[in-house]
Amino acid sequence: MGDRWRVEVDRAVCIGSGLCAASAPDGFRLDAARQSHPARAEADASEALLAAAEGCPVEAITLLLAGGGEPVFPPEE
Amino acid sequence: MAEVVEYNELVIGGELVAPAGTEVIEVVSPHTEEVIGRVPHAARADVDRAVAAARRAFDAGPWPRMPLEERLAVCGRIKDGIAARAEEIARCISSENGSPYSWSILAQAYGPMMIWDAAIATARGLVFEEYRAGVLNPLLVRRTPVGVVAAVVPWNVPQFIAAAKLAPALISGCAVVLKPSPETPLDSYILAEICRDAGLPEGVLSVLPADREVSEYLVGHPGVDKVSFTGSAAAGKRVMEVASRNLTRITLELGGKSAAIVLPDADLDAAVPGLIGSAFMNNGQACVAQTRILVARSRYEETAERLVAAVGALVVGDPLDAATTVGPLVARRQRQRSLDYIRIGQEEGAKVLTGGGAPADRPTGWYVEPTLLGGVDNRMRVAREEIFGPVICLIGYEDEADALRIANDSDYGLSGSVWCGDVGHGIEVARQVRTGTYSVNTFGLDLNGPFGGFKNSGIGREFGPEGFGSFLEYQTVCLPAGYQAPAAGGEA
Repeated sequence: MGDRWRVEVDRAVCIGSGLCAASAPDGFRLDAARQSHPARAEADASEALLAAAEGCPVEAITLLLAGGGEPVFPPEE
Repeated sequence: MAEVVEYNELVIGGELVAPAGTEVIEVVSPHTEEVIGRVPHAARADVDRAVAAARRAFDAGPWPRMPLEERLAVCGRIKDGIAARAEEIARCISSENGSPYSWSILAQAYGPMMIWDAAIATARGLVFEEYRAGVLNPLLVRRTPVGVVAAVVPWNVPQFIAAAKLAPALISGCAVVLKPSPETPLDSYILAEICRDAGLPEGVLSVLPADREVSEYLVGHPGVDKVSFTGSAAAGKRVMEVASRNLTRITLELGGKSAAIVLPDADLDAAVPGLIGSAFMNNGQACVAQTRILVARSRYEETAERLVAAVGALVVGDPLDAATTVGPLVARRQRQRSLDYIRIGQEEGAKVLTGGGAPADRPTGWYVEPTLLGGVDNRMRVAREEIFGPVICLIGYEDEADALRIANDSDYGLSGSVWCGDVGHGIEVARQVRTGTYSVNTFGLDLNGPFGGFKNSGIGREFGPEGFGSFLEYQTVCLPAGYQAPAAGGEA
């Protein structure tokens, strides 16, 4: 893919399923309250990150193109 | 046993054609976790082809131009086709999404038949053209089909919701691109066969199984005039945003967090089965599920005991087993979601009265025990957010005013119910609740009444004459002064 993505987790929505950390262990960490945090605010684009965003049961994860900010997930069109 | 149903083509304009891409959707049984079906994943180029076929069918084809009665004859044959294959459809959907067969045969097969029948009867009562005196001119006011419709349906009751969109759309003369969910594409192939055999003309129906990205491409397609969407509130907001670019018309039928109010004079013998049925239907995977049960503190303990006993009598198991009343959830992520909300509820101070986890005797399959959370405060996340699983909140109230306040204290406004000694008083309660449908001493979702949501539960209505409105555009024709309208009884 080659792009860099900005990763955001809406913690008002996160229910702490941990599925994101399971699909992308390098991309997400769970805190003591099981709330998900991006491991790094920006990361290389990867299938694992996209799978984590798509698989989140409450749609709490947003991926944006780093720099431009165009949405990767949920997709723009 | 593990027979895999495989389709290698997509239905575009009613014809089976090779897909543009190579991606495949695997349908996995929520009971066995084994692959039970494979279908092509529609690509953007497939959307382009399907919309182009629909445009041709609508802009130049016979479907919108034939007399209403001819379209109704085709639609009657679609209903007959569903009737002939009802058990096959119910079994197919139960295999895909875990819906218990005993419920599936009613809601996933007979329900769609009733929708087609009701829509055909409703259409015969609609006035598609009327002459009217204007202020300045005599007028002809017409209702004409909205055009090419994208019907985006979810996995919980795929044929019921497909019928809710297709029946009024097709009867009105629209062409439709149906987008089933990746969890339940198989039953949509049965529907496509039924529609083809019923004589639906070329181009009028395409079926494109796809995930969200391709769905958004369809919703944002400039060739689409109207999007009828059923799904989550989050996805609905996205649909509205994407559709707004082309001013595409939308109907959104979204989630709910509906409250069942049990008034102190309710007959619990009648109420408890109704409460359980309307809370746990389709394994709790229903937008209209009554997931907040509001009980007077004076009768809280007694009602809780009765509900716990009734939940204990639910039969969890293989969705294809006739005795099953609660099957598995559609996907691993949905099971995780329910389990997480059970945990969150307990962290917030709610108590598990029964259930509370994955059943120990079912290591395979995405099962969650039917769960009743007691001592729930309406401010808790489990009382505010749609869980979409077999997890129900029991909430105490002080008096009727408090019950009404709690019922209305929700971002959602889809459905609700009241159980009480006097139906007249129940209607008074209904008048004070801000939801699109309401039930008194029963639970209903009727196909002759407008169905839809207030607040975050959606925009627009389905069913009844009101439901046709979203598939029709008005056209006003101004006529010269003195024009004499022909006598009624002419062309519909």
